[in-house]
Amino acid sequence: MKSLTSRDFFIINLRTHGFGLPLTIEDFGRDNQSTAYIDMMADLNLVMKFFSDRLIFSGSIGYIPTPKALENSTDDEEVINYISREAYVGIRPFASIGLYAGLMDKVYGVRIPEHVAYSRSITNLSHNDQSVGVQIHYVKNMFEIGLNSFIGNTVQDESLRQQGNSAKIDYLISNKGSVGVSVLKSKSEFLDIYMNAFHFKTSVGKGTSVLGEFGEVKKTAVQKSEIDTTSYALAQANVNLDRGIFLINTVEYLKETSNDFRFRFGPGLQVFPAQRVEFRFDLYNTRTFSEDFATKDTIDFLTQLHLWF
Amino acid sequence: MVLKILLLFIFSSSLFAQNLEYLYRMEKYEDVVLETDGSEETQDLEYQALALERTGNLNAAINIYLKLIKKEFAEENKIIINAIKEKSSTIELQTDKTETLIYYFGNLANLFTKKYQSFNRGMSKRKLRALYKRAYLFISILKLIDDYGSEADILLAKLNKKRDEMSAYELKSNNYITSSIISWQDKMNFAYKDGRDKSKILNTSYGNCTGYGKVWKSDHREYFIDGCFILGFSTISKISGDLQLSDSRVSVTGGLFNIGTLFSLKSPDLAIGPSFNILSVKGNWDYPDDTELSPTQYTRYGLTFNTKWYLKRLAVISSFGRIFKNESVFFGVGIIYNL
Repeated sequence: MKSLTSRDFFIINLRTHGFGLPLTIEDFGRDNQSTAYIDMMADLNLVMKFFSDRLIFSGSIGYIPTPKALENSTDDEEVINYISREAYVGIRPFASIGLYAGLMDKVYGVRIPEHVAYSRSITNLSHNDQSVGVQIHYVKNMFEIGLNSFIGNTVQDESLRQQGNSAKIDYLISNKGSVGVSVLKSKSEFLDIYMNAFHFKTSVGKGTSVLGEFGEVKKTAVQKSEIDTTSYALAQANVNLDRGIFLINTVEYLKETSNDFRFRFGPGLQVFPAQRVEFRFDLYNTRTFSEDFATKDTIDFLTQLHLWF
Repeated sequence: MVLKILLLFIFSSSLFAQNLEYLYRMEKYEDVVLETDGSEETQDLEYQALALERTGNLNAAINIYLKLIKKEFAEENKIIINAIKEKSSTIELQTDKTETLIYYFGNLANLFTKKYQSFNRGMSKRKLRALYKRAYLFISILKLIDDYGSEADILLAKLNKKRDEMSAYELKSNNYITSSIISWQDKMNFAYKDGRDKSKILNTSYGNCTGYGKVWKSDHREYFIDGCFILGFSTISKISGDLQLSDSRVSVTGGLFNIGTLFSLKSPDLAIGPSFNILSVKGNWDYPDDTELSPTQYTRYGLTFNTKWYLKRLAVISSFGRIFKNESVFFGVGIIYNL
């Protein structure tokens, strides 16, 4: 390992991410349209890298809004509004291998920023679902392998903490894309979770990409031994329209234990008007296909502002 | 006397040539053309050709070099033509002015390449192909007579680059089969026949749409037209109020017609764009005898935004938009297979 130099020491990256996601319009364009300003997350994240990125410290302080259901609650239940979403140390003794320990996202599937996506919400891998654990990241030739052992988030009640293991293998099929599989098994006092997914990422020309994930989640209530199986699929095209302007076209599918299923289309626009500033405009149309009822589509219009410092 | 005239001629032609060189160097190309107009002298014609090329008169410059070759290298020209016809890879020329011959053919190859490069997308394909052939011919001759051949390789690279660029804009037609999952929603009128009550009832439908289409595609743009037959299911329900009805997984049949254009912005493998749609559907819902449900059959128009991702012969497509007069959005996800 190289000795510490002043250059290494000052590689400090300070950023905020997801600073306010201010506007959500439900039933957009309808008589019963409702508008809400929801701060979904705000994070202040500090990353320090030493010895040419061989030693990494990362930590964050994040805001978590009070759930709507608890906003007017008179219960004495304590509502936590500030959490850490990242607090880990990583070492990479060789370029091909990295060891990480602390609080971090679990290793599983394709990581996309939309935490409302079924591939993140149904898998419990959303923006507040990090877990304390250890990870091994191995990259060699055409393979990228991640192994994760976790014990849950210490902010949660001990009985609710999901403890288990996950693994993800990606195979680089060319310099333009990869295919992979992920598997995760975990349990708490109340719930066993097993899930697996197939995923791919590919670049289609400069600044344009397509990614997808197809998976299945089995959740078993320990006391009832009933298995709820949910299938999901995500396909997302990210098209570079012009300098700093991207069209995002997302198609999602969700099928829960009943024969009902849902399709969600999400055309969106991502704009970078200046360095470190990102605007997102997303229109989500969710349609439920039920055996018994015809239900109105849910149409949501979301705007987001991301700032990096 | 004769000697005097000869000396005067040599002196004046030398002065004249120096004058042309001076004008050419001063970039007075039109003056060079005027000064050499009507002259049959080799040196005058050479200057004239260079000046014409500089003024953008490529055809006139080409004609002068062709004239010079016929005039100065008639025999060599025949040998070269025969060698090209016989596709010979070597040639033996009976001239001590090989450098000049290479210079003439080099300029011709260069001029034809320049002319081809100056063509734009509005030109006819036939003209383009003919010009490519001529440019290629003179590059081949240059390669044949010039042992070093480096300039020929550079010109050929330029020519082929332009050809590839033009080909990227060329629309090529292709037939395809298509199969998609599509879904739409509409509201139907549900009423008692005697008029005592009436209501709107929501209908959610989805199904498979399989059909055939044709696409005219370049690397930058495509136009497509397709049609498919719908075999699907519908669920209608209204469970509030006095007038209630619920009927699920009702068979729906119909057709969908699409015509549109897509643009490839960064890669020919991913295209986005709008299409115009005609949706015609018919359903067989059950409802009480004293009521009526309408319309059970309709044809409506719409506009959708489409994404197409090519994976060699296969492509993944998605559509998202509105069928006018329908409720909410129309969408589809599917594949096409290029035949």
